Amino acid sequence: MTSLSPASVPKREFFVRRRKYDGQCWLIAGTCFYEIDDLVDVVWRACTGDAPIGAIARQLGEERGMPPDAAATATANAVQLFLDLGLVQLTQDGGRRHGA
Amino acid sequence: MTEQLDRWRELLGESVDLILSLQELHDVDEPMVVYASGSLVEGFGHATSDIDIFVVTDRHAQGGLSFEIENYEVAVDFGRNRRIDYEYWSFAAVDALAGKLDALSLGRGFLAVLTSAEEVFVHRLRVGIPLVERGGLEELQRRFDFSRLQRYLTIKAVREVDDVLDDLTGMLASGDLDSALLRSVDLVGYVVDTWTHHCGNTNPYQKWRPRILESLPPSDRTRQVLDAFWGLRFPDAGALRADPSRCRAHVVRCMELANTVTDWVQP
Repeated sequence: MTSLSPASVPKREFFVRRRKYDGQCWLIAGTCFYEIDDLVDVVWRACTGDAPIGAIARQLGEERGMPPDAAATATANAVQLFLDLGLVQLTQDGGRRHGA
Repeated sequence: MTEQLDRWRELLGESVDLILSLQELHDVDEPMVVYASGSLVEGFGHATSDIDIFVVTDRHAQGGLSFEIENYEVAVDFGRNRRIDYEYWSFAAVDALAGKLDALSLGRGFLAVLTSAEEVFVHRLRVGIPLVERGGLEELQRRFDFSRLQRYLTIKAVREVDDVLDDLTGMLASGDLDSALLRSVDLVGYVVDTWTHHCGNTNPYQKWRPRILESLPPSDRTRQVLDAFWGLRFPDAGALRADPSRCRAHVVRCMELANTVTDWVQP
């Protein structure tokens, strides 16, 4: 479980690209490739710097028919993973700014 | 028929009769398909555009200004108003190309194996207009799965985007902003290609990017790509080079555009 605030706004790093071939999806950053599943992909695509984590979780829940708690947990875990891998930054969090 | 010939004459700037007679393509007994294509047919032509005529036949090009290029021949003639290029393709070469298109891998195993001439041939076959009987052209068109060319060109454009993104990431990391600025120009062009091919365009000519974009069915995304194209493709290079942080921000905007558009293309 992560301690990310639902008000935090994740934004994808410009140097990360997402590619999808033959139904499989990857995030590519330099020489690092990460295969992601459908749920994580939904979260990744929502990390545009416009929506807070709470809104992304609601979107995930609606798109995938998930209970709110499960969607919130899945979203927070995915964003935390992106942060740990240096793929996103939090652009807004109560006025603070976190680098990935 | 006369009405149609008049229409073709207006479109091409030369009479069909003249176009056929310069290469002795009238009343031939052998199997032959003759059609016009290219920028004039697509409505992109201008005052000095040449006329592109395709001749699928087993005979050879006529005249002194003719030459062989890999699997086809070209003959150049001059009408009253325009230069006329005739491309001669054999039926066997056309069949082989249709088979090559069918056999392409359009997934992870993608390889850009079509030559530029082959891409252009297939596209121009798709949009061609018959200059002799219509049935021959339609039969040729039926041999090709044009949607595969569209998907091929889309993936190829994404691969070009990938190459540039790799370059730009490295150039920014090493502080080579001049190279990054120049390369970002390439990126914006390939992003446009990615979008237009995704939307159904099979014309591979880069010079028509703005015309092709404007010819797409209107949508918010196409408008965004069009605006970004003009906004990012011709930046004030002098001002950007004088301000490294602005220059970097410009390059990053180009990269973010690429990421956005490829997400649209690969949902």
